Amino acid sequence: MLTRLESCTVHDPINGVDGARGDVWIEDGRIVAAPADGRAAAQTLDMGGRVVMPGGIDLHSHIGGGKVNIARMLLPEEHRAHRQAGGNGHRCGSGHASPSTFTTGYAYARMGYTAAFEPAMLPANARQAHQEMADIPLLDKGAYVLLGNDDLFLDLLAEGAGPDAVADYVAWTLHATQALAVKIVNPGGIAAFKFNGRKLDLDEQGPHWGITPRTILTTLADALDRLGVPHPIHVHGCNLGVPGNDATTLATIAAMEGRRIHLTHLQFHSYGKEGRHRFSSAAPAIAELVNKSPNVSLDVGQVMFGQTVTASGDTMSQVRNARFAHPKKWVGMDIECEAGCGVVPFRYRDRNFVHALQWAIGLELFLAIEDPWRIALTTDHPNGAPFTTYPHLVRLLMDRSFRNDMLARLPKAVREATALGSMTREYTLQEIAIVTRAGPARLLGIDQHYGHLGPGAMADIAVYEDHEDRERMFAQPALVMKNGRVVARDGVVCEPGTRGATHVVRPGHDRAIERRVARFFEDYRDMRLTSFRLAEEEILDGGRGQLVVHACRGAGP
Amino acid sequence: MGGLTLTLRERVRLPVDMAPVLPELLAGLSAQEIGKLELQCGNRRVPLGELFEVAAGDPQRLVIRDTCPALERIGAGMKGGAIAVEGDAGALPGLGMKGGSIEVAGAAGAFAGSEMSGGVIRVAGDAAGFVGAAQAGGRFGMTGGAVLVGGDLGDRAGDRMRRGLVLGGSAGLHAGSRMIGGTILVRGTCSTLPGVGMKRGTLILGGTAAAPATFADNGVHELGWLALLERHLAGLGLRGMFPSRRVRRLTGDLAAGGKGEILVAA
Ligand SMILES: [Zn+2]
Repeated sequence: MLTRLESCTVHDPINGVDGARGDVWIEDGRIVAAPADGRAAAQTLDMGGRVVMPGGIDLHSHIGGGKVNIARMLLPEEHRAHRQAGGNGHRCGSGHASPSTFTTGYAYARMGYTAAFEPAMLPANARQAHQEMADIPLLDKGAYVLLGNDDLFLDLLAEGAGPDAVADYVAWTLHATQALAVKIVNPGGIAAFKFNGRKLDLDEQGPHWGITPRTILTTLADALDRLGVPHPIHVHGCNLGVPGNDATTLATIAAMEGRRIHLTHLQFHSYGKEGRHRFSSAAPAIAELVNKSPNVSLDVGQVMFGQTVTASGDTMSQVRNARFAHPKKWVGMDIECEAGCGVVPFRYRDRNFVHALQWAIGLELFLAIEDPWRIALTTDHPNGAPFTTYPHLVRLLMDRSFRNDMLARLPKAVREATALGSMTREYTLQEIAIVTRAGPARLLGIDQHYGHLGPGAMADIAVYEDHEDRERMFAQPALVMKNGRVVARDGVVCEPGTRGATHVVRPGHDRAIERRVARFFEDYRDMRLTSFRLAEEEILDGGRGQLVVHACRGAGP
Repeated sequence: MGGLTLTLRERVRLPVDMAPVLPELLAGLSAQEIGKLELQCGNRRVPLGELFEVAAGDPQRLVIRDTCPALERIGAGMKGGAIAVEGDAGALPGLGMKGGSIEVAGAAGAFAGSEMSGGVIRVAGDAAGFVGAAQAGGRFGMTGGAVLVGGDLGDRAGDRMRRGLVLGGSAGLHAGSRMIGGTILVRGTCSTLPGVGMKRGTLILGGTAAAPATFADNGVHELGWLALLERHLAGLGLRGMFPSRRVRRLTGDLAAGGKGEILVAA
């Protein structure tokens, strides 16, 4: 069926369309060119000049897998306090910072998002992560598999197995866990924690294997480059949250020597230790280096005030944070010795110097980093704040006077410690479209068919009322389409049963590496290799799921 | 003017969430308006008037008649006023209540007074498990007020309770488990392992009990402060409730710091 969205104000950055008036044509779930033969649309929807963008894409949001479920179990009171009834095809659900799967899908779709990516999938948890994500309606999804702190990877490095073997192991893991990219959390630090280490800096030798985080990072980056995986290594660096970690972050960028790197939740890694509180903003220096380094992309991990829960693979930093837990309880876990896990509930308070400055540092990064294609809008849901705060965050970026009103409410010491008040930049609608959809699509390498409105793209579309209040605008799109079907109107989901696809990569590699992996499984793990590996059929699930395999540069499966 | 009266038309099978039926929420509403309020019944929302016959009256003295155990969360979160339940109350009566009073003529379901911080709940019959306890995952049970039960207490009475008073005839398993503070007074005896995981607080028993091995026997004492407790109970209109002023004192749970006590009438 040919559908025509008439009279749209189109923001489609990938195709260079910035607010042009026009029509969007849809057929069989995809965007098509206006029919040359003058064929009439079977259905015409008048957009009345409203703002039309591709559906939102969140490239870093903890929506499935072990940690999220642990957070849910740790916070039953949150789920009692936030309950959503089912009905009209909706499934019931609950939760605020650790929402249930159905609630997650509905809440994203209500805001015009059509894809979200789980950035920290433990290989051993891949099955659960994918099963949880399969339950999330309305969204396309995918996961980044955690590597670099696991014993086999470190063994390979220590025995000098060479770049081919490492790349083969990385590729094998991407296949076996049905992942889209690779993430590393606190390179070597999680492994060091298991030997009782509480800190591991970029050039410190880790215990047992004697390998530095620098080596781990560059080796993984090279492996992904060799495999042609579109998304570069997704890095949660050393010393998260530690005042003075700015030096580590700057050194990490330098250590890449031009290799591509995605620095995730950079806000948490941009702290100086100046001033009376020995906590200061290092956003200017970090933004300056990022601006000069075209190999670097990032997402911010903005902090917003209120109750949330932090769920991280970084056991080291979560042990440090546990004393700040609110409410006072936390969980630290290890699963199959592959990485770590710490879940600490947290309340960011605007009267607290550190929390308020964290808020300002995130915004400083947003405003000081010039190239919107390399910066993605995230709160590192739920670590900085739940994703439901995005519309508020968009307003902070687009509306300087609103931003300064919010800043004026913070303690004087904070206002004096941040340059935010003097920053005049306001994001344009086009820049918002970049940092919330076009940019993430490109950074993930899924931009052939996602994140734009050109012919051939999936018809994932969000239509917004051009309110002056940008928070209101982005909280409640007039229309949301998924695969060419209207799934939400005026902030109400009308097709709650819609299912999204799972995005993966399948880089080519030498399958002989499986012998080495099998030996490791035989010797050390309590899981069989055959049951560890996730079969394609498990995702497809008799037609409930769908796989989208993205091409890797220069390599075939 | 008499109290506002809701009479259950017929027994319901699916649980009804009564939390919206509070004196403070009904104030200023006509009987018709009250009848139109929606209550969650199972997975449906049902107008209150379909379930109850409403007779106008003072909402500060709310009367609920001919009740059944499907009526859950009666008085949950209430701040003031009085609710009289003429029959049995379902689970969670007085959940998180801050003030006012609830009187149950019959028995009460599980978690009576759970996480309450003020006010008084009186139950003429028995109260099921977890009186004054914390909700699953909650850090504290009741932090103030009193739950006074004429009949017996079920299992785990006062689980994670922090402050306030629970009173009952006898108690089930693990009375005062994981208690952090406050007082539980059991006129009779209790089932096995009272006070397990208790950090602080006082559990008073009228009869002998098999305390966990992690409690230390401090011998028999005449404790002066028990006179104060007796006077406090008299203030609540409770006389002759007190087992004895001579008690055997056991301190524990030593596996959880050991600052709690079990006092057994001697
Ligand atoms: Zn994250």
